[in-house]
Amino acid sequence: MDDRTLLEKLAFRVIKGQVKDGVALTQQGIDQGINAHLVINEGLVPGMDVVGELFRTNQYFIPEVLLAARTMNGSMALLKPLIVGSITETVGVAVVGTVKGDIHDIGKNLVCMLLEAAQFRVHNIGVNNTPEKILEQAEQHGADIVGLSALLSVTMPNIGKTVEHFEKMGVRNKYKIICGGAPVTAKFAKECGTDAYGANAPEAVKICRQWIEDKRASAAS
Amino acid sequence: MGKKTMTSRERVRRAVLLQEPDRVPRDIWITQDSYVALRRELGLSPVVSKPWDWQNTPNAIRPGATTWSTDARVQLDVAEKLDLDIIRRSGYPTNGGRGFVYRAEDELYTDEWGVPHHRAEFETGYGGAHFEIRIYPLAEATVKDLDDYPWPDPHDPSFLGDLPEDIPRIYKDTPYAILGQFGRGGIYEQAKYLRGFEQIFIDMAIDQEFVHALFEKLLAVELEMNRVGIHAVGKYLSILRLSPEDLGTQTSTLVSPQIHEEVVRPYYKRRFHEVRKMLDEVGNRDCKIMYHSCGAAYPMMPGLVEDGMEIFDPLQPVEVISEPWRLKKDFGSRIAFLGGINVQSTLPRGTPEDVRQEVRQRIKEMAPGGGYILSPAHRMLPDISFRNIKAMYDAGEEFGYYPINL
Repeated sequence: MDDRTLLEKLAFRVIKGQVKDGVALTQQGIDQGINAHLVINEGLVPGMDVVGELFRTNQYFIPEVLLAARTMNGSMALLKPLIVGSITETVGVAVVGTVKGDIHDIGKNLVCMLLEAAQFRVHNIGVNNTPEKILEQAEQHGADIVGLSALLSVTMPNIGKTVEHFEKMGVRNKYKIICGGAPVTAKFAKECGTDAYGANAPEAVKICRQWIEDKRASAAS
Repeated sequence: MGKKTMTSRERVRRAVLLQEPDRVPRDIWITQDSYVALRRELGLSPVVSKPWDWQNTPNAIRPGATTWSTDARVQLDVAEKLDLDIIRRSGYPTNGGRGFVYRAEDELYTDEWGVPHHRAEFETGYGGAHFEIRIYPLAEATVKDLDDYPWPDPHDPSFLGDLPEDIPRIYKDTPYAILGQFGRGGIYEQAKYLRGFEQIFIDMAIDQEFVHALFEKLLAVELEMNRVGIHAVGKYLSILRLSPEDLGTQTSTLVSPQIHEEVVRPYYKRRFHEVRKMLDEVGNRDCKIMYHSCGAAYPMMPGLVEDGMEIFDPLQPVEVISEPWRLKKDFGSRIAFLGGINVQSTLPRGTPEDVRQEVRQRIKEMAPGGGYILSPAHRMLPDISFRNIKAMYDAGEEFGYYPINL
């Protein structure tokens, strides 16, 4: 199979969530000498982009996204050792967690999966995170983006408290902060001082990608 | 203001039969923390009865509608003060009634299904806490393992607890309609708790054999719980609530309509059918079967209605496809609705006037022709002020009298 055909097929395996076949195809690509970056950027990523779009438009649901993410992750496990040492094309670094008092994480995990698929380096810091811990993790990992999630109306004010803590510590401007979760709205996100609201996982990824592009553009100029 | 001409029970009966009663009936769903505050605001005696005080007693009896929930068992004096029409009662945990078995060494609370939970304080100044799953006991199980699993035993005497005395007493001594729930877990919902949210969704897509085996087990427990409860006190009920299940997210369904159709719906259909038969066996044909799903569940609604759902709760006012007015327009000639007042924004963050306007809007959309019971769109957490709870029921009084002319 020529390289181009293989990459197209790989994207299709990701879209269909065919974990075994996808991983086998990745191995085949490596064996026939396709550059790991090419496998990622022209096989896996375009596949996940389609998955994100299908999810956003209610044609895909949680099982399909999970299977696609597993196909992607299985393939990445083979590819990662090959890109260590070379310049990795990480788009940006994101620290993502559920805020203090809240331990719901399905939506947040979906965001992490799709961010990873979009080549972000993602630090999924789990649930029930204090503002102090979120800041510490953001600093430690050199994050560009901080993602905050809450499912309950009673815990969503902790998104605002986290932003306040970043302000108090004088580091607010170092980060872009995005939030989401069932009761969260664009209005609430604005009121509590975040930079954006992710209405759903693909939307959140789109916003994060845009931020990184803007950051690069402003750095270049 | 209108005038009431019916008892609560008759009001609810008419509403669920899709006839116009004298006034839109009223219900409450509230957590224990909020309930403590509510009683204080209403000037009623504090909740001191130890067995219910799970907040201070880790192993306290849990009367909630699901294994992990912190729902209050609302007392008659509150119903009287708020002019409610419905008293909710649920079966108790089957592990001696305690619900959780607490282990100090790892601070885990294990429920009657063998699922360990962690208690998380909300820590936002409202007080209260939530229980969430820490370990999914069937995460790696095979079909064969399901036979050996210690399933809850609906014949444990703690399951009915005081219900065989309490429910007939409410029926005989008060005018209230009784909403009973005996299932404690459900099928699709409990599968998520036992298997894990990610794994069960993967299974539904690629290992349906396991899903079917698990759903068979869960359906059997659910039906037996209902059989025990209905045979004991089913004849007193106006509404029978099945174990709550969630099909939707804020914007969509969790799984595709095709997967739902193939994997989930057959079990729902059998459950509706069997529970209807049980109600018939105790001669209660007026009792309507209520099914709960959060989120945007519109694509599954035609199947639910066709298979035997008679009331849909909690009618979350989500804005994508499942708006209350749309559900009323498309299904209101066949089913009733309970709930509908937004607990994600209006009740916790709106003003009393916002709440009033939402209740007005909901009654305008949902109440004509009967078939609507006013209630919050989910259990009320401690961030909802008494002012707004009061505003909700005051608006129910202001706008809820038939004929509805809004």
